[in-house]
Amino acid sequence: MTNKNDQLYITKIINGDVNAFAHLVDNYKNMVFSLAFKMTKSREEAEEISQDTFIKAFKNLENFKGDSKFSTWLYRIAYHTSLDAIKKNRNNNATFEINEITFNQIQAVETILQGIERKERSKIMDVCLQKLPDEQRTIIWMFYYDELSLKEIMEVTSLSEANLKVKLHRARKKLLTIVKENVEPEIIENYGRK
Amino acid sequence: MGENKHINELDAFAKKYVKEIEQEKPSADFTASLMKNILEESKSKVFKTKALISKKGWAIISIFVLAVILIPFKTSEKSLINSLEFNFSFLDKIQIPNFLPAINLSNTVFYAIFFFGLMIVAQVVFLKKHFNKKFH
Repeated sequence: MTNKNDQLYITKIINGDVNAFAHLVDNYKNMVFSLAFKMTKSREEAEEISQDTFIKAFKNLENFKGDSKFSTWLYRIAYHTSLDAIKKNRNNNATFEINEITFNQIQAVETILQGIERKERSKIMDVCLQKLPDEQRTIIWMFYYDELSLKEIMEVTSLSEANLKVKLHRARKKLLTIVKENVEPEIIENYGRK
Repeated sequence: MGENKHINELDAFAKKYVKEIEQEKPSADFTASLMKNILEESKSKVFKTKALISKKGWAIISIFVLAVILIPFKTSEKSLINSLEFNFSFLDKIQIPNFLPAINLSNTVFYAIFFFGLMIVAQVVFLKKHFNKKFH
């Protein structure tokens, strides 16, 4: 299941070629760092977590059986290391109510987003994602950005399929609510023009 | 049906716009500083060495030794050791001057010391290669 190149480097490392590990680091450092950053919302912490993740992976490389993809195995380590860091420095997430959204509002929000320049839109989405509670933000990131399958997310998080689906659905709804609140002034402005 | 349509719309919305977010990148010296730690880590790992002869190796050696000992009892023929006839007569041709005339060593002791020394020299080369491979 593991990518052939990854397996080649893994074999080299196990046979004593430590420097081959740098290739794996270069291939996956952005993935690991992004996940850690999305989970902790802190660059310094994410940097530390990423270092810890790769050191743990290196120490346990001999235990990697290749049943799943190397990236999923690494993702799992990064996820649990980030969770431990979050538990240590518990930062309180402001909880807020999800206002039930009517679904033609999806189109209204989308129309506004379409009118915004891509770079700006990417920033808005990032800010909105940061406002989601830790777990929901992480699940959204895994599923939509890193494109992990439900099965892979279940493997990483140890959540049941039913539980994961419910959490994913709530996370999507909440994200839309947050985006709507962020772009609302522009929606009102738009209605005003009509 | 309606609820499913909404889920799909939400899914499409998230898929489209989350993917647009720019990926965060770690600091430029991330790999270099990590590899420094990894190399230190691996040094301590090198000395947790595996035995040169694995369990499988020991099993094969044990079976061979047992076979050599037990086969002669089972058969009327000569044991494996006896059936292999080595000709050591070439050793008589090696003329080594006697530096210490006061010490008399039997030929057997002399050959034993000679082969022991030869094995040590061979091992130095082998071990050097083995450790070089582990450190680089």
